[in-house]
Amino acid sequence: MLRIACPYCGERDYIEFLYAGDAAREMPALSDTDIDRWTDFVFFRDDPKGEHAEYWQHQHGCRQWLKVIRDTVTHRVISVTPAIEAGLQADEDKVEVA
Amino acid sequence: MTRQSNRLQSGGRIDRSKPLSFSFDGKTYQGYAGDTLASALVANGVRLVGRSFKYHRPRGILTAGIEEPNALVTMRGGARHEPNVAATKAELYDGLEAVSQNRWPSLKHDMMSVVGLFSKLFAAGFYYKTFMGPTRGAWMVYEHFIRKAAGMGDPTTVPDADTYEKAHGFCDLLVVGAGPAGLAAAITAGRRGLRVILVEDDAQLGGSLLEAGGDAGAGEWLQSALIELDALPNVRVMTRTCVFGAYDGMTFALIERVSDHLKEPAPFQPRQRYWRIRAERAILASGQIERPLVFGNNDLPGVMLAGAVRTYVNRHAALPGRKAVVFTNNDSAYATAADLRAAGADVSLVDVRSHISGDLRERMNRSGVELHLGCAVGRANGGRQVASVDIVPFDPARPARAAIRTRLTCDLLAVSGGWTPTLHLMGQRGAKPVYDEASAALVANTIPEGFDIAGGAAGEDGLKASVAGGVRAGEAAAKACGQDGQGAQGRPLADGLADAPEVTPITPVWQIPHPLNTRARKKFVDLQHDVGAEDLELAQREGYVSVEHTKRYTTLGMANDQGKTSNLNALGIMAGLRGQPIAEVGTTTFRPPYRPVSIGVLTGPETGLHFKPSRRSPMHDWHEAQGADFTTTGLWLRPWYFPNPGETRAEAYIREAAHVRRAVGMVDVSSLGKIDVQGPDAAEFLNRVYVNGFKKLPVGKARYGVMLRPDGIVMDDGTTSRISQDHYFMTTTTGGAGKVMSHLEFLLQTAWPDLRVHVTSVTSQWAGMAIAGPRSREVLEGVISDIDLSDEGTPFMGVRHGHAGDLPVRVLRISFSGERAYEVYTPAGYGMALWQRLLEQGKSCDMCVYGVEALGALRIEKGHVAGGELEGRTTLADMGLGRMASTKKPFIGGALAQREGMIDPDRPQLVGLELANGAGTLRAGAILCDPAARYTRAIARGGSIPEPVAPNPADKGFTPGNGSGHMGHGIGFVSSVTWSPELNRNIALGYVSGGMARKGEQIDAVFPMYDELTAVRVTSPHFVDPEGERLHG
Amino acid sequence: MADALSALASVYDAGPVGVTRATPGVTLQERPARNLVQLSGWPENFDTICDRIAALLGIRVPVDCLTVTTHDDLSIFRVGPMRLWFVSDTNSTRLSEFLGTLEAKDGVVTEINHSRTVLRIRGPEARTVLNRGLPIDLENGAFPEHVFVQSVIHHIPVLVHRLASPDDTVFDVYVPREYARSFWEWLINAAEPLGGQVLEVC
Repeated sequence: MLRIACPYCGERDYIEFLYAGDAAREMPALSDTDIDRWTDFVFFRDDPKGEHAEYWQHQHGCRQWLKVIRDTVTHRVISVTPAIEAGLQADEDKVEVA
Repeated sequence: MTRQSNRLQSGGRIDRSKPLSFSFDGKTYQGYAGDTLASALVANGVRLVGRSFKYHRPRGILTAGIEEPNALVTMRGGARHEPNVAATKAELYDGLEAVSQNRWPSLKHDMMSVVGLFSKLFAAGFYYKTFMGPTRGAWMVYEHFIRKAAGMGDPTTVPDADTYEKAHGFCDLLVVGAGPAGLAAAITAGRRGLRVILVEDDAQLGGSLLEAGGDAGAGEWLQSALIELDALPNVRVMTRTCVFGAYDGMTFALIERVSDHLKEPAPFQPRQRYWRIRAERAILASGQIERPLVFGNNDLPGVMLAGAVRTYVNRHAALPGRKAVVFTNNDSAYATAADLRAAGADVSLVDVRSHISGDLRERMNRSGVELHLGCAVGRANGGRQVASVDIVPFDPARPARAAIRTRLTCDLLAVSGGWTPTLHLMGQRGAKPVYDEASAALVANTIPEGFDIAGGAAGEDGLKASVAGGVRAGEAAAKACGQDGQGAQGRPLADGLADAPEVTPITPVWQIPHPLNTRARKKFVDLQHDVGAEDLELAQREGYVSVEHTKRYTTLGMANDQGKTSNLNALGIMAGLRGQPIAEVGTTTFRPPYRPVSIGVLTGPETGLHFKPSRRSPMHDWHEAQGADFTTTGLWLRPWYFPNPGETRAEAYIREAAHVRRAVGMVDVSSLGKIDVQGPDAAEFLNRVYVNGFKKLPVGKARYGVMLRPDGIVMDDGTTSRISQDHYFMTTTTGGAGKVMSHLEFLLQTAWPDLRVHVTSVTSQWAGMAIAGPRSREVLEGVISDIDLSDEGTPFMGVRHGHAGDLPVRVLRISFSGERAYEVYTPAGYGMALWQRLLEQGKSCDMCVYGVEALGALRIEKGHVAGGELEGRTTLADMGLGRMASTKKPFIGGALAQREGMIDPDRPQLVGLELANGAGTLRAGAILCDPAARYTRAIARGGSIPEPVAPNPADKGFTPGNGSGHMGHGIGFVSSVTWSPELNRNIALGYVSGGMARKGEQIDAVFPMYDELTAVRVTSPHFVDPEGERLHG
Repeated sequence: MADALSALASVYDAGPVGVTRATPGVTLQERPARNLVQLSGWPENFDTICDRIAALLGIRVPVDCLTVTTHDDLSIFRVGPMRLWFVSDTNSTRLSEFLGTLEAKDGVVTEINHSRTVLRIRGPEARTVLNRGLPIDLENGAFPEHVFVQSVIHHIPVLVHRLASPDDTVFDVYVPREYARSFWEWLINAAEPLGGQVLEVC
């Protein structure tokens, strides 16, 4: 019975959320036709013992996608951030590299 | 009615002004309000209450609590029949009916007790040895006997007459257990303003104080604590409630037994309530559970835990025996001896320790208790109950067989092997207790975050220490919740309480050897599963050394008491066998539930009508009134077909589908997923998620679109219309709506946060109805006045807005049936009104209403894909839609759709199928096979070649098999089937390797469940109007 | 304009339900169809749009999710980080005019006025009834007036709004229309043990 602190709605019961797995991966650019990179993104997952970044959607709440860091041993939720912020941050990083 | 022969004349917390009558095994007895079934049986001198699990040995009441392994009874009857109720926890009510279990034909004369003579058969690992490997056929022979012999109460097949509720609760502090420590903790935290929930399994608060008898100050302390508790509005007290599980996020599961103490629940009241409580902090003040001692015949009725004896005497004024032997290895049982003496019993006390405090010796002398120090009970004797015990000299440091010193006659043997703190809830959170040599108990090692322990659970002994522990824990909880104690008032709770007397340490004893010159008697460790010390020895000898292996091999601790009285004794015995300290043997894992929980209360109200919610269309009431039969898609109730009187389903849908092609029909499509896609980048967004282009779709036009999952498999399809430059209206399949919505939001919020697009589900906002058939335009024109519905005004795939009278409508000229058709949408609240107007107009146009089955028949005739074809394994090309994919722009799933396996030319592709010889049955799910494989296999086996057959599964003796001669996955499968009213024959869609290249070929459709082999012919999936001329008809 | 038909039309019966009590533990009442429109904005100018709303309608736009601001008949719910619901019993011309002036670059407007059935739950046992299914702390400290949550009851997504009332505890529950009948049946069953009274639609 996990409780997840939605950054918008506060701490809520897991039944309000939809789980969508590994959030460490990054989707290749849509124009990227490299099958290996897409295969990596779609199929390959780390299975860490300890901290795991994962996507949850606050499906029955604000409908925001969240990036949750959860300990796979203790089930403790370590941090929750809106996925959209993480996504924008990643975009900025990309620009800087370019 | 019998006299309560063992009821004390005075004392106890029973209400003698409220006599209650009850029956046990058909015989009527009397008890009082405040009794449990067990205490009332004790008061009536009933000893024998059940037969044991495997050996059918006579068993009596061992405990006074939830840990009871023996006294399980079946209560109530009929639709309230409930097996395996612990008599020790069943509050007595007038008219209570209980029967004993696991005996036949009666408790006294149990035919199955002969099992005891063959007990070797039932030793540890019996099942594994007897029924696996070469002898496993023996199971067939013995199953019936074993099932009858081994078991507990019978379940019932009658639906439960009671209702159950669920509830959510929240608090700062959850206190588990309302003994002195729990009360002190709750009051302390309550004084500081915390929201406290105090939970007590018993009907009354007080815990051990209720059983304390004449202990100094106990009664007074309890009374004033209850008064203060009552005055604290922020402390919620829940009695008859058990916290049975502790979960992540400080979530706790509780069962409140709302009506278990009543003959039946009051009107509208539930039998039980399942609580889920979120707490900031939790304090376990759950006390301790006493352990029995392990010696020969230690399971005889009349052998009872010393603490339980005290409970019966002091709380219930029921005397379990008049001539008692108390057998102990610690000080606690001395109070039992004193209380038994005070109640008028003769008492001898046997202690394995040679030395006790002078104070204790003095008290025993004063009470007239005969002491046997440095001795043990070597074995108990008796038939259906204990009649005597054999005393042997015993040195705990060097346990050895010794000659019997003396025999004491008795009718009660009170035993205490020490006390184990109740730490299950912490254990469930992963904090395993560890063995502590000093207290000879499993004690808390690490304390999980948010938890605290107090009182007996923390190893605190005596009233003063427990109260002090509760106060400390309550203060700590308040501090953790940000309450520093300012403004808290009240008397110091531990004031005036006496210090605990000097204690002689416990001497752990895990089993007593059989006396010399006597035959070995069974020494039980787990009484409920009939696991003895000798079973543990056998398991060790056979290599099941680890504690988890021993547990499963012997089933020790796996009964419904979960080994509450047996686990530590078993660990002690195993440690002895292995010559290791107990700490190194380890403990088993604690898992919820702490006590047995009925399935009914876990289900709560989610049964019958409320099994799951239904989604209903705005026109649902009309469908219902028309006698429609409904089918469920996801949670939606969709009208399946509208039978005329006497019509079968097949007759109805065939009539409906034919009617649509002949004239016109209307179907409710409100359940389709509907999503508004809005924003300056909406076109770009749709271009990325659909395989086909949407950027150039003009305003006022709709387009069929398919979206893929990122792995390249088809995810969903639907029609998307451009309402304005920046506003699209997307429809999805009924079942795919939620998935698609989350998928779109995921992409917008993770992959493309720069896109200015919002998606909103508008499924609930719109009622939808499709009007299909050659006369559809005529119907619409009669209702909608301000839209030009001519082919020029509203061409195929045109989208128009207008009105049906005063009702706003959105009209999409799209077709699923292949006929000229329109989908009409109106805000949901107007759905019924529009439906009625269309019906009214339809009367003059020969319009029928059709359901989902006819809708399916029509689309199969046209070869349109739907649920059966969009089944999570198929690619766009498999569906014959490969050319839809844009080559001018990238889209989700595009890259991985090019994987080797996805573009394999041998992949099964969409085809039409029909019966090759007009015989047999087309079934969705049938496996398509190459007939050549059948002959090859048959010839290879040297057998005859099976011909297509269709045995009737209704035939007696029919068994599913492989009469078809085919093996493996075949070359495809049948995805959808229907009777085609248009072609007047069965048709199907399916996927087959080679696809349309096989057109005209005859292949096998195999349905192994019915042992069917049907010859089918591959055809085009476009059965009706392949040129699409009717769309404009 | 035609009247919208209630999703509960065929099952709604005013009168007592369950246990008889001198005063009902809870009253249940369907609220008639309301104006409900959603505005979704963009990060670059959402604050500006909110300021314009405040200036035009004289009502502050709630900053945090979970809060409601109310002025006269109009309430604004912040249902998502950049998403507002405008709820009113009567049609506000000023609001619809304002929304009509918005271009896609300012934000997008979605009519959802028929998408929800609204039920008013009121009385000393209102919290008890809701907590039979709602995993949300409804006590005063945790759930004061003018606060709402979006959560789930009996697998049904709901929005629960605590209204201001000096005398008693009042909640409005917004249920997707297609679930309304199942929710209503659940609600009646939950109210029965506490003594309920179904009031005429108002």
